[in-house]
Amino acid sequence: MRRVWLVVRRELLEHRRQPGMLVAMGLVQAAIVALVTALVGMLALIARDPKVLADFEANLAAAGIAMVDPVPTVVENALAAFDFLLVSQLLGMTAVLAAQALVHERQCGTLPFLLLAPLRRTELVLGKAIASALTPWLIVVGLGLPAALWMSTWSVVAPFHWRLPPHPGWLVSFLLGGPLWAMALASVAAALSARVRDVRTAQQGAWMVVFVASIVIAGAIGGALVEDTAFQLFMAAVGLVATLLGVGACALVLGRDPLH
Amino acid sequence: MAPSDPVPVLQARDLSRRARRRVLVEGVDLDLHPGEILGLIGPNGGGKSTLLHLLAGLLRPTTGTVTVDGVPADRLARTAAGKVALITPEPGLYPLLTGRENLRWFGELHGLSRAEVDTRIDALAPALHLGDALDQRTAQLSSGTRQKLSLCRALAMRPRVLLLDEPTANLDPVSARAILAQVRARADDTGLAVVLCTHDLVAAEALCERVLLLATRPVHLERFDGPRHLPAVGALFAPYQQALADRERA
Repeated sequence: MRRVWLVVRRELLEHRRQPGMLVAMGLVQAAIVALVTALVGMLALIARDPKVLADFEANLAAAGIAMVDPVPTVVENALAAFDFLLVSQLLGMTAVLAAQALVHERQCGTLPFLLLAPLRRTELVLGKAIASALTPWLIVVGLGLPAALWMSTWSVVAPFHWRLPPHPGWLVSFLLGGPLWAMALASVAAALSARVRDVRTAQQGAWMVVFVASIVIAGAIGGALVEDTAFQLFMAAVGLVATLLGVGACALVLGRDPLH
Repeated sequence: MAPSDPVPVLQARDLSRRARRRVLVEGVDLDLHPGEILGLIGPNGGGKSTLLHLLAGLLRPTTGTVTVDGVPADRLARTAAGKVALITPEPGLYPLLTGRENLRWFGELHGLSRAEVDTRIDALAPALHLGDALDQRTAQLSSGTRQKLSLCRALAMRPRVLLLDEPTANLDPVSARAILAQVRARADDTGLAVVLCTHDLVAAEALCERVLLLATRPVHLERFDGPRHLPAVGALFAPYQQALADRERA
């Protein structure tokens, strides 16, 4: 594990030396969090005053939007979108970082030196998968968790408390299942990266293959929040298995003539 | 320096590598003794880099064996990491990390403590004229300085065998001479065995005790007398001959 940690530490150091990338990732995430929080907050204010609520419903009806109990409906959809966007952001950003994980080594010319070192290919890939998932996860959780905890104190979200922390299912999904699935995707993206020689092809591969997978997985994790905590644990376990399989597959790909 | 130790540190027997129906390396036998510098010369695409990768254990041979101190090359990384060091035309450093961060990281990866790596780096840095380069990001350094860092990384592992793949390809003559002088000094002082793959025949003549020509078949030259030796392999090296003739005329 020491060598895995060394790979993670060096990758994180390189991430820190790219402040523009971190700011861009943070801004996208902040925009999503701000948008959903503002929407749910506005609905909370509307729901607090019966007169304002009546006006709101009347305005919706006048606009031709026929909804029974519009506030809970919109809140539930907003929270569903919030959860989906959090996970898809985590998976998407992870895939982008991981997509150039090994092609970056080729471009720097460091791959032969890594292969000469007492570093197993699985350790290299696992270290890169962890680092690729860790930075986006810190950004997503760092911005998303406080906002989610704040929203969870509003009475308007009470019927959907399972869509927000501190519900155990949510915590398992976002603090355990999300990063595990992100690492699984990272290892797939890294496997693509191990076979190509330029960043452009690696990124195209990531978007064409991993992008679709991240949408599907984000939908599955968000949709599964309705289930109990045991199911979230099961989803996380599947994510762990997928990660291990992905890391093994990537190490195999890398093991086949890595330099030629 | 003539090899004094009769036991070779690096041995290759009947080494061949074929890929995609192409013969990249065919039937190479070589013994390399401590303190010896073997030149590896051949045309572009002649299999020099492939041979170095085979000797380092980075590629599996189609036939034949490579051993370093009796350890098969493909097990070096697991059981005897650091015995063989490699220098490639590209220095192989992370551009966003400083020189010292790069060297520390690779040292720690080889199981050295940070303090131990620092001690070794500080001992090597003056001879390599690294100076402030250790504290600058490698993206900001010149090619020559980055190559010196790469040499520092290799020597810090205290290898038994150093494989140099055109280490001076992108360097000015002064930087190139400084790097090759360090290699010679290490071979003389510590018994480091070196394989130098180069297109610079003058450097090969000055530095190498023996030369392996990778032509249509491997040719060992026990005494390398510089470019004048090359007619032995015919028109393959005609460009070198022409360059030599031009230089003499000038």
